[in-house]
Amino acid sequence: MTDFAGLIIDSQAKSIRINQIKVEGLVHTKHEFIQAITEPLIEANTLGDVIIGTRNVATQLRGLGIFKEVSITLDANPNTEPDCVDVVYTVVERPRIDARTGADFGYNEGSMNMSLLFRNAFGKAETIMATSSYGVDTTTSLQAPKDESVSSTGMQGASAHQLTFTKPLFTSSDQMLEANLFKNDRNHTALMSYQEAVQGFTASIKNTISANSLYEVAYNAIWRENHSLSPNASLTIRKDAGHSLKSSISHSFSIDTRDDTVFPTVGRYLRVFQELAGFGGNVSFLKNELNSLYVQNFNNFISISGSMRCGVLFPLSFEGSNSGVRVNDRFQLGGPNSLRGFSQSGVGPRESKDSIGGDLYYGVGLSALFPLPVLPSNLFRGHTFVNGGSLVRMDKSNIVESTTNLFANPSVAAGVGLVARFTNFRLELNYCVPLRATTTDLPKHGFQFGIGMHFM
Amino acid sequence: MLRCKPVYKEPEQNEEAILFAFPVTKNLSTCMEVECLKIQTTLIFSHFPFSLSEIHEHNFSPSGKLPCLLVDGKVYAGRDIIIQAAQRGLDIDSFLSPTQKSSMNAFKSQVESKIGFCLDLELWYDSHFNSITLLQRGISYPWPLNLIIPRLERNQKIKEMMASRPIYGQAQICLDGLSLLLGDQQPTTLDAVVFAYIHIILSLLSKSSTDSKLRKFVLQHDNLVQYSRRLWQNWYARVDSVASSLQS
Repeated sequence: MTDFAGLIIDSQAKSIRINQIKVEGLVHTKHEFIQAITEPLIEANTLGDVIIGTRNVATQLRGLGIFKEVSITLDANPNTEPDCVDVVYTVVERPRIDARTGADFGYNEGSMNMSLLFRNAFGKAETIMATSSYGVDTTTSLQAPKDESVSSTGMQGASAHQLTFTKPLFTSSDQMLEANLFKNDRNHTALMSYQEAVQGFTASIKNTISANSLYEVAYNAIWRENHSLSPNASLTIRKDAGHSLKSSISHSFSIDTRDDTVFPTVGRYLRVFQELAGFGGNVSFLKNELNSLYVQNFNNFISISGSMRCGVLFPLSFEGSNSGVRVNDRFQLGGPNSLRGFSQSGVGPRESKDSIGGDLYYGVGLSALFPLPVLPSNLFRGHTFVNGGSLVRMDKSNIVESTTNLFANPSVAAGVGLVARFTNFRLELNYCVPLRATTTDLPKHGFQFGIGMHFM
Repeated sequence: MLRCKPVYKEPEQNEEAILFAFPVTKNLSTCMEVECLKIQTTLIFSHFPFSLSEIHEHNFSPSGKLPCLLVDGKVYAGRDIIIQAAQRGLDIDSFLSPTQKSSMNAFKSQVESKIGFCLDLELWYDSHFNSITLLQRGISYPWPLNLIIPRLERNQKIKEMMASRPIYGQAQICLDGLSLLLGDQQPTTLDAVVFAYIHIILSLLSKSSTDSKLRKFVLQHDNLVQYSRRLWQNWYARVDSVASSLQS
């Protein structure tokens, strides 16, 4: 084997030419689309170039997500010159239609979901996916928020319908064009005394710069209706009742070099997000968010991570526009995924029992993961943490005072618990001890359960 | 646990009552939504001290329908507003005898169901929708919601109207009766109700490019026109030449 590998290495510079490239097994995929991917191979003129090139093309074909199998054969054709080879890709297309249904039941709650995927719809690796979820008296959102921001809030009774179209922008899955039509109903009555009907359209271009960095630009047109207010809803929530249209352009960039997203031992994560709203519609603002995490391993035993999140929302006033930022756009802070030791949206501005959100926030956390005796360390880890942060309203006329207010009274909690791996998700059960809170915060002393992909 | 001062101070409650109602319609001096104008007029007749705050959204109200009244930190809607006004101000119907009250309630009901139906029909179903209602209801929304939301409301309104189908003739009978009943005495809640309808019929429907059958019925009763104009001049301090010309 070593001799064979050596032979290949020694022959890398050997002059060789590709006679023809054949792709066998295409049923629904358009030949011209695949030809555009394989075409650069013709340029190869050494054995090394041919081997690397054919592998890269195979990786690109697999990345499209439309082939179950991709195999390569380099075939010396007796009818051509001696230094010529034929490259043959044999592919097996994945089924075009994939339908799934599911149901979850718990104590006084349940949800059902359906999805239908139409793969390679027009023969150029396009996908059309329809998903629909209905929840009855559930306590968590059925659909993870798109921007992973702290504004994710728990909700009771939610439904979501979405139609997504994706296609490679050119020939690679590294640059994808995505269009979404969606309609969601969300019940925020437990936290903010209103229900929300959201429907809209987003179009985005996702560019995978490298294996661990992603760049995304999107246009969003979202119609929100805050309705069915509770009888005791605060005046601020009432003033934001009704219809609003957000028309915005957003941008996000993320780098993730962590060795494991659930139990990271080394690496860093950084995500920046900007959104500018006000291109039509009746809300206008500039929103900026940063989410970062750094993790380091000590003695192959304990991993310590430090994380920081912050965000600022500037209301903008364009002449002639009916400017205004709604509770829907403001940041929320508190809960197992953002600030442990506090109830969901339990930190920051509050009117009666409503969390009315803020324009300026930060959160920092220090967390340690360590293996536990008896329990397998790939599935369970011990966990201890301390985290703190604050969320305030911004007074545009006095930004200095708003910033001082932000750092003057942080809400802090510490705790210890157990972390478990569940596919790509992380489950946490922590015993939390709030150390410092404002008089309007909702500290949660005792056990707190959280599930998600991003934690402080 | 250390407790520190909150990062946000709730706005102080306004001591004066606030009536949240649809905005004053452009060039027409009052709100042109019957419920809002009716309640506003009743409060004025009651000498109930309040300030007016303009709101575009029915969702603002606890009942899902404007207007609503904020008083002592609580928000009241529908009949509760009149009850609050009666408890805190002057019950303008108190001088009526039980028989008169009964007769007044019957008339109020007639106005609400018959004239109200016809006004809704003209504003939401007939050609006036495009020239008046669509513009009026859509003005507070950005494109394209200004075209979508009024039409959604229209569908809802038509469904409600289909549930009860009084006809123009009944409105005419009601107007005939009213023209005989109304006089110069101290205003009652009936006057508030009648004024709200007559004023809107005369003012708003005059803006339409097509003739209004309902407005024509009212104009046939000169005393109703004079009555509406008199109430306007006596009770609405902001009376101006624009309003007078609109009522003429």
